[in-house]
Amino acid sequence: MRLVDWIVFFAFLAYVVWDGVRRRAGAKDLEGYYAGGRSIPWWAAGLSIMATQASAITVIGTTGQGHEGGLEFVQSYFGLPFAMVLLSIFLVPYYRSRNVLTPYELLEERFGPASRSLTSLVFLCSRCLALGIVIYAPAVALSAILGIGTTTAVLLIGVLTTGYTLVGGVSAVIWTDVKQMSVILIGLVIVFGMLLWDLLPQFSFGKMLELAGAADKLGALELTPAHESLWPRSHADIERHIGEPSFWEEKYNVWSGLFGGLFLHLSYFGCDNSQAQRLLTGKDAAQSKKSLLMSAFAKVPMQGFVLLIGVLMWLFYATHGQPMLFKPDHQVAAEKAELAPRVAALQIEFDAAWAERKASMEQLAALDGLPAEHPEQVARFQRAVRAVADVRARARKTVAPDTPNPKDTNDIFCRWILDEMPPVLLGLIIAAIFAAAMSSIDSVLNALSAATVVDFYRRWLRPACSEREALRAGKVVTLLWGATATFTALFFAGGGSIIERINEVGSWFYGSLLGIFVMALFVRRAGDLAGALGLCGGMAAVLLVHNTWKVEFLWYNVVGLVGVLLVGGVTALFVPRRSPG
Amino acid sequence: MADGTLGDPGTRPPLGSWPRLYALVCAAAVLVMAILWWFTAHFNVRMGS
Repeated sequence: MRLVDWIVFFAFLAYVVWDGVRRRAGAKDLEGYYAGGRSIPWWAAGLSIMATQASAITVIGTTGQGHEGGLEFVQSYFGLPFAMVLLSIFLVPYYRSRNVLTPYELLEERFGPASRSLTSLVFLCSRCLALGIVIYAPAVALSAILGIGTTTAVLLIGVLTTGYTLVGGVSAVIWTDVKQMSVILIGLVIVFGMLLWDLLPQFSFGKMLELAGAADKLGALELTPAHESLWPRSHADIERHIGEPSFWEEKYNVWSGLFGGLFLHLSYFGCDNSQAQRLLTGKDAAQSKKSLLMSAFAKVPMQGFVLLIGVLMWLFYATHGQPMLFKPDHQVAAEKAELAPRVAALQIEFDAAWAERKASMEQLAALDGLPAEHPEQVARFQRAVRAVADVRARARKTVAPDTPNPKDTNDIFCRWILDEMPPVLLGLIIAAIFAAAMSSIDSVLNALSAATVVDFYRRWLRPACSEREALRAGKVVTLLWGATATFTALFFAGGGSIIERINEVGSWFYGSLLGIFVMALFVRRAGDLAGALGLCGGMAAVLLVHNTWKVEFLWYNVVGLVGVLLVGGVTALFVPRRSPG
Repeated sequence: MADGTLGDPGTRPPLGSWPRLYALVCAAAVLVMAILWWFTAHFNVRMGS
């Protein structure tokens, strides 16, 4: 990085920290610290909702997903707009019917203290795990760019974000999110523009889409599943090579996106306090609904746009040449004396495969009509695409033999910006990655602090504490959660796609969290025992399915919800809710 | 349940009513999916097919 990039980068970081800290005036009591004094405008809360979801993962991980798997990942967001509508109809009026600081407070009124505490605890545990991953993502970028260790990078991000969140509370979180989201969007548009600028002299935009489509990178909505069997295979069957892959093993298709995604987003935006807290910051329910519906309109197109950037990046590398290994750790390992001969042999194989891919792509580009009209040329091109991917996979395995499935999905974007971005813009893009990271981390920190103080400290430990004492406890707890999350991040320094891991961790719990709120709204007979047992039943159902069958994680949300409703419903039959009187 | 929107002209729903706005959100989502489906059907060739 050049000096000017450092200046842009640090100027942005300093601005964000200052902007967050100056909001401390509004954080004089718990209402101000956790609900922004109920005075946040809907558009700011809406941008904050989007910024919280669009973490560094969206910038680094999703472009990497686009490079590796094309547009298929966008399908996992298809349920989001419908989830926002359902939340606006059912959950927002429920939340805004009382002046609560966490949605879990309502569960005590509806079920009892056990259900409230257990649900809040599930939120705390699941979010703490996921937050570790969210901090780790930009740390990868920082360590690659600055040449520092991942540990140092994790500490830098964790300390800065914890600092302004601790001082300014949710107002700092939301108003910094607004600026961070703006920088993220500007950064993504710049990268998209630069890729087009480079590729347009060689291919028309239509030809780019045709070539990417011929490489199976534009499968944005496949109605026909690749596997038609509806019977899930057990892990034992897979080990013994019995049976065919089932529909449930497909990571992304329109059905898992619509149904699994619907429940994932219902739970994430409605029951996960890091997002649901936004619904409590506006002056009324109408403000909360508008902020949710803003995301409903923007999210799917935005996600498609980010994935398209990854696809164009793939085309860029297919045209100009690319490294066989993107991950810096892999590149360092490849230089070790004992591995060098094998890596050199793989490099020769990779160069030949890449040259063949380029030749077959140019042949395809020269033909008139759609690629599908030239099956022989497409078959040659796809063989070459697979060959390049195959050599890359073997190279990764060679340099990281101890990692089960070594990937470099999260390093592709970083490599590209380092090699291709001009001065100033590079600093801005790095700032965008940081903005994305901070905007997610700060929201979760404040939400974790709110749940800890409101649902545990003030509920169980110090019920008679003053507002001032509770606020002081909130700040201490924010600091403790910041430290815990930072150290958790150090344990996630593995491979794999970060965005998938975030959603996977969430999906273990989200269906169950949603289930208890569905029971609160629609199962009038359910009492505290039914709520608590139902929540445990939902998580047990996910654990059972996870350990028995091969089912992709988006479906875990449905499994958890059904588990809660079954166990909670049966419990309510035998132990109905006591009447308030 | 209290909605908090009644009698407050500053927080009237866009398009005049919430159901109309919900319908617009759903229609926009279906339209985006239809465009993506066309995109896939027109350009994409499944690997190995």
